[in-house]
Amino acid sequence: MDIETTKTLDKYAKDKYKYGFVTNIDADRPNKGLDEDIIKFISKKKNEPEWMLSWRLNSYKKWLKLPNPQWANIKFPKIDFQDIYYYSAPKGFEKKPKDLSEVDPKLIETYNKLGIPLEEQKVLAGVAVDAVFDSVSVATTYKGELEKLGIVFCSISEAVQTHPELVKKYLGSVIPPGDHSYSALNSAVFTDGSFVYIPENVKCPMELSTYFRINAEETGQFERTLIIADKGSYVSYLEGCTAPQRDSNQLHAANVELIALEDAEIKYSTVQNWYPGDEHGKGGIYNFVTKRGLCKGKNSKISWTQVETGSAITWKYPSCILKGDNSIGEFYSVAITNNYQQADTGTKMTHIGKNTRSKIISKGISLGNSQNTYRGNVSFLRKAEKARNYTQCDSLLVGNKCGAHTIPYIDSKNNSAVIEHEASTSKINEDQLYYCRQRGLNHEEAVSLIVNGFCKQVLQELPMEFAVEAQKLVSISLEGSVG
Amino acid sequence: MTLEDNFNFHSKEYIFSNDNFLSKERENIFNKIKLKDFDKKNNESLKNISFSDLSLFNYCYHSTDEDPNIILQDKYIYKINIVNGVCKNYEDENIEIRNVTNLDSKKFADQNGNNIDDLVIDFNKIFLNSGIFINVKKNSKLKLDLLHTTYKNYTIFQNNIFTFQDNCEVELQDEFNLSNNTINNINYNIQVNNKSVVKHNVFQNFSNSNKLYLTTNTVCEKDSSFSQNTYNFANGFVRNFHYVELNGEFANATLNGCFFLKDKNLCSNKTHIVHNSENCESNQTYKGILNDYAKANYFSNTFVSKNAQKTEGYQLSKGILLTDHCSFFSKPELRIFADDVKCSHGSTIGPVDESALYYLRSRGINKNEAMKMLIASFIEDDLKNLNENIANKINQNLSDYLSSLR
Repeated sequence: MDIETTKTLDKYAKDKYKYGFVTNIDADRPNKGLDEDIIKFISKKKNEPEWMLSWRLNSYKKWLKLPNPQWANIKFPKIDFQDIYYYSAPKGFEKKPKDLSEVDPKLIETYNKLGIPLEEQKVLAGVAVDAVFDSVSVATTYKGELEKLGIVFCSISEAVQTHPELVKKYLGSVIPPGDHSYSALNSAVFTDGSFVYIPENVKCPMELSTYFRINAEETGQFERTLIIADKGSYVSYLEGCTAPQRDSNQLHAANVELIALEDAEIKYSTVQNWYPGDEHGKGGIYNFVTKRGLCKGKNSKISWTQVETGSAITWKYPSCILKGDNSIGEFYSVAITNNYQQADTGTKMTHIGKNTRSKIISKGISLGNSQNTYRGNVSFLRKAEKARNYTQCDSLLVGNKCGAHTIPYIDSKNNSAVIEHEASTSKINEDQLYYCRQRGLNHEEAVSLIVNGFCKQVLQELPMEFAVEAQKLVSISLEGSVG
Repeated sequence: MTLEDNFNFHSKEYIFSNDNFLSKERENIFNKIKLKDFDKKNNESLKNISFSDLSLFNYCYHSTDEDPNIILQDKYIYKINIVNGVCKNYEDENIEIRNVTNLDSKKFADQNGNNIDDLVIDFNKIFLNSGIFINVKKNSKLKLDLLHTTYKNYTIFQNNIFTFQDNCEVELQDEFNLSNNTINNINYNIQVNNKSVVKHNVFQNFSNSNKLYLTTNTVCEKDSSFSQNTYNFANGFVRNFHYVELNGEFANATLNGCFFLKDKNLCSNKTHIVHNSENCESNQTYKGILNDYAKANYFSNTFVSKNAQKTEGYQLSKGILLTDHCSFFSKPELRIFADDVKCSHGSTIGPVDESALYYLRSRGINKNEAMKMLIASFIEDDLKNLNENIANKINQNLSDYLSSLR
């Protein structure tokens, strides 16, 4: 890479995290630390039924026994789980506001800064938003319209009250609490998150969207999302995340469960932009997320799309269990790491049913002193006849202080299944750069064009509203070299 | 016998039992294994091998009275017989061959590859009972044929140090003539000095009561080249773990392997290439055919350190599964810390191409024959550039393997 390109990138590397503001709202939170009393406190605050509390307590017992997962290619100081607040709610939220006018204007302002379509003007955008502020779901827009179609879109604590039979049946069915220590932790202390149920043969007419934000210091965010798409239904779900700029590290350990029944399709898109820490690697979010989808019925489809630009450490593997015959799993990802960020992301495709297909496209871009790892597991079980997988993971390196790692695990136990995997690592191609310059583009534009092209396969999978935001994010993380 | 019995009963017989430093290290490794103080879940050296397979065996080793000879077939072709890990001491103007003695402990203590985390190497260090030094002198052009013979029930723990001095050109060939119920844990340390070219062919075929753990650690200096081809037709258990370090500029390394498994055969493969210097090139290609209940795995790792700019590293693995009961696991890893590199890997696992099969059958070839043609063409690339002797052997074994297909 020549000096000019490096300069261009460096200039933008100094761009500040623009979502790093703090909203001063009185927060209502119990003492730090985790024990049974805290769990009972959370459960009581949310007015949960007895079965929910005992589920939480069981998960807590499992968590006590489980060791921390060790295999990810990331380094960080040991997390002191007793030094975290497990519940934090803006004061005055014990009773949910009926409409936006009752919400603290400061909150609205926060969301406006974030650019979330919460108010009327955003109605035009046609997005239904469930915004989660620290641990409590603030407001859910567009509810009435969805209700007409029989779609349930609410916070998970509300769903526990209103649809206990669905929650009881599906919660923990894809990610059992005892799966690993973070799933157990989340199951024990999850505070909020979204719940979506799409009834049979309903195509959700709009994109459902949630916005997560960690505001209070030393708070962990443990949200739990559960999406159920009944037979023949379709839903597209968007998730965005930010956090204020702080010197201490904050933990975010979410669990997301998707269930697609026969002929159903779920499209889950994430733009993750947690605070990544400063240029010396101080502060930032630890993002340890478990996302898993189950293609339960025949011909079902689950598609994950993610753009990862933030958080100090990311540890995330949205996966698909392809149980139903002819089911499809897809995974599209762009992960950009800068400064001292570490990302260990990838996916897991488990083929169980016949004729199941999966496709993985992963693009990693590492800059500065960051480490970017793709870790994927594709396995074909004995009964996965004629199953098919295609994996492509490409990495782009800028500078020689960063690292790019590709660690795929490929396991085939069926002789009619076909797996293809390819990966490449390179720097920005000099020839391409030269060609663009020759056509009159300046350095910045040329780099942006090439990087954009590199990510295009993934970005085009995002819904319209998100694609714009994602492109903006890529440009911030990539130090403005895009556009 | 348990690991502890083996260790305590025979500890006086191992090489270097007189050396305090190595004895101490041995003790440490032994304790580590005894207390199972290692990664059990993701340990690559335990894939397809259970820990009890590794640790429970009857240690059996006696030095032989017979003197294995070295035959000079031509002026530059050396046929070296190794019986139970021992060969004849020999020296001429091209080469120096000798067995390891207790006086060589220093050389072993600072052997590279010591820091590789591999249980099989740990066992090799603990029970070491034989070793051969080969030093090929400057500017030599030679062919070395090594034939390893192991007697019934013997357990060989061998560590060989081969050095190829500047500017030599050597074809090294390993063959195994194993009796029954043997364990062969053989570790090579190969040093390829400036401008040297080394070709290493390994041919593995033996009955199913034998176990072979073959590990090579190769260091390549400036402008040198190391290429290795392993052919595994064995019925017994084979572990091929090959590590290469490219330390000098413009060095290149190629690690190729083919395995042909049937019945309940197991096979574990790994290649690991470390690029430490600029302008080096590496290739790793492994291909396998699995039939019946066979099981195989292949780990590969390309590591590019941050000053190894202008690196080219390529890796490819292909597996064909012929039945529903066999399985193949592959983990091709890339770890890259430099930005001006070209690295890629590819991995495929699947059945024989249906449309190709259909084409051949529509031309009047029966299914079995068509299958054989496709499998033969699958590995044809790997049979190029081989000398006649080994090519004949491989063709013979390949046709035996193909005729066993049902």
